[in-house]
Amino acid sequence: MSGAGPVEPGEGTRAWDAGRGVPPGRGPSRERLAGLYAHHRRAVLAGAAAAVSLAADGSLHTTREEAPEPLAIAPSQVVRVTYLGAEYLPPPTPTREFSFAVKITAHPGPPVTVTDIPQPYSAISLTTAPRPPFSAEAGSGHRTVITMHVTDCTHVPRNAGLPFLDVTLRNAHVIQNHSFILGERYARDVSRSIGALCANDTESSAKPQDTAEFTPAHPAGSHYSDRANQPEFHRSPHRVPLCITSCHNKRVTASVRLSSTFPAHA
Amino acid sequence: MPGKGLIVRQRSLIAITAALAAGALTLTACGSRDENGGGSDTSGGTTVVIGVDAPLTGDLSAMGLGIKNSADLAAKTANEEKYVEGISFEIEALDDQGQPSAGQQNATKFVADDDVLGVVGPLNSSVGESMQKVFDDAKLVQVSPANTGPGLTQGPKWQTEKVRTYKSYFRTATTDAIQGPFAAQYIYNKAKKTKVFVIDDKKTYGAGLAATFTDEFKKLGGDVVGTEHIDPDTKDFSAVATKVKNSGADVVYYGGEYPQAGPLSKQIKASGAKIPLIGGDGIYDPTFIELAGNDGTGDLATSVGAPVEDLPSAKDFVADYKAAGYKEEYSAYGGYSYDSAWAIIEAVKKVVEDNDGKLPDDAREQVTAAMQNVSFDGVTGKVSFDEFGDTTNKQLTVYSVKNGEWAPVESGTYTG
Repeated sequence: MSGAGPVEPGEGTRAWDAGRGVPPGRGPSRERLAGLYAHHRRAVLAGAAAAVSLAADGSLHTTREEAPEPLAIAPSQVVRVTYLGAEYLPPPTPTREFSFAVKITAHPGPPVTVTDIPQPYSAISLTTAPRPPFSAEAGSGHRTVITMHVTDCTHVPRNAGLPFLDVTLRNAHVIQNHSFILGERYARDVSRSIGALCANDTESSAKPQDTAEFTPAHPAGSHYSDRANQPEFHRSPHRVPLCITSCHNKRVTASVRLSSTFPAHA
Repeated sequence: MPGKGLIVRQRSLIAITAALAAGALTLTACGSRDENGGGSDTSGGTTVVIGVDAPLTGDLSAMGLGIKNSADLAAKTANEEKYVEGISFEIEALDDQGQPSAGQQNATKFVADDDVLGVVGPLNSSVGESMQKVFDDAKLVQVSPANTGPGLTQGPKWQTEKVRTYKSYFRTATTDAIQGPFAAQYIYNKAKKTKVFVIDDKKTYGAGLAATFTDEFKKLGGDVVGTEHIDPDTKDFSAVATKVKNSGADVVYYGGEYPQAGPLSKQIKASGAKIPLIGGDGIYDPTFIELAGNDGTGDLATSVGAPVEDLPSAKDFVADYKAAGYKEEYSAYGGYSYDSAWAIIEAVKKVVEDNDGKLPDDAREQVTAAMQNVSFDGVTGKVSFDEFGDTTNKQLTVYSVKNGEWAPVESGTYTG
């Protein structure tokens, strides 16, 4: 309660307008009060206003003392990011691009805003569409495409075991950068995709585990709502064009879809 | 965290009640024992014992006593709330001194006590390994708040073939399969350290954690410029410190615990290598900072869970722990220990409620089975277990020594 509005009757209090607490014939008559009011209207109004103000202030003060504000929950504790799988890019697919679907969900409660999705690797830059900020409120859903740009094939990690996806979150209390570790399947897909893009950059790079083209298992717009629905890798005639001399400034595209399902979380 | 709001208000009343109850139990010769179902029947109901195994003495006692006290707080909270009708909980804590052999002996003692229907602990993964079969043979459930060795739940070949060996084993802490790579990702990508010297204490936890860190660090492109093993029974690491200095490393990763990590950090700095040391949850204790000295500022540790500041439930736990008057700090695993004990309480509650309010004859077996489906909002967040007995709540935080304290730097959540 902010202190604005009427004070509600509670334990040990009575409603002001009840009137039943005053026995008949024991207080000032209505006529006498009306006469006093007519003669001292301005003073009465000023006094009443002051009394109301003091009462409200006291109520506010009391309320603050007796009912401390609820403890704030960090946004990272109410937002979950999960990797769903590959996104299909219809031909003619721009070279050196592939996409991923990620689900960002929020626990019911105060709204949380995704303010940024930075990429922790120095050899990769990342852009998103739509661009943050956007809401991650419970019940709302977004579809966001993340485009990764491999800026340096010689230094990009090709086989990271548990790569992060950093997400900057904000609620009414705090802005927080949180790392979401999306698991082995995400790591494998990223590694294979980067490996395919940088396959010919062999001078100073480790050989990728698999240079086959990354082909998603599902069409664009599909929702990957379960882990069994995984992307597949196989060789196909539509190979990702591999660089001839250098793989610098290659682009990798990923997509993020926001949806609303989220398990209860304290 | 269940029931925290009532703790302070009702503590004095409960203390009086408990004292009266204790006197009554004494007069009635502590009641009678249920022959098969576990628990002691008294005129006031049935008493279920939750065992606690942790290092209560020795170098690691700071963490161990925090585990014991936090489990005790959970039991008292359940009793105050009468959370399981007709059941009161007691804690019986045994000291393993961080030694696998002692842990195994303690496991045997717990199994022999019919009143024990669940065990919280231990701290060390190596101790946990020594206890698992003993408990599993007796179908006595064990919930560790601190074991992070992946093999405990996912089998010795966890990297290639995950197989659950013991159905009686659960844990609320996440594993080194995540913690090691999490540290590597932070060190390489965020801290921009590319040359690491890796040291471990050759124990299950330390060596395992160092291995998962090393593997990920290499994959990211980092160089491991040196490796060493230390003897955890000594505090003279000058020879290793000299090797670190000569290696050109810009960071040291240590797989082990704070009693050795603190002096190791100090001696590395004293050798002239002014580089940070990073370790896992085993060094995340205020004692590390004391042992490392002023030059330990900037050292790092990963630990399980989110910072207390991020979780209102954790703040409540901290307040209740202090109000309970325990002498020792709750330490790194306090919240996880409370949740481990509460998971046992939840499992007992489920079994009792499914058996018309009484413990069944095969209580241990049923409690173990019920644990798999336990789910509640705990101190550390949602508490539940996956098919391996691992926690489904997998969060980690990087802490750094700043102004003589561990300060959170960055947190991550595993959602794979």
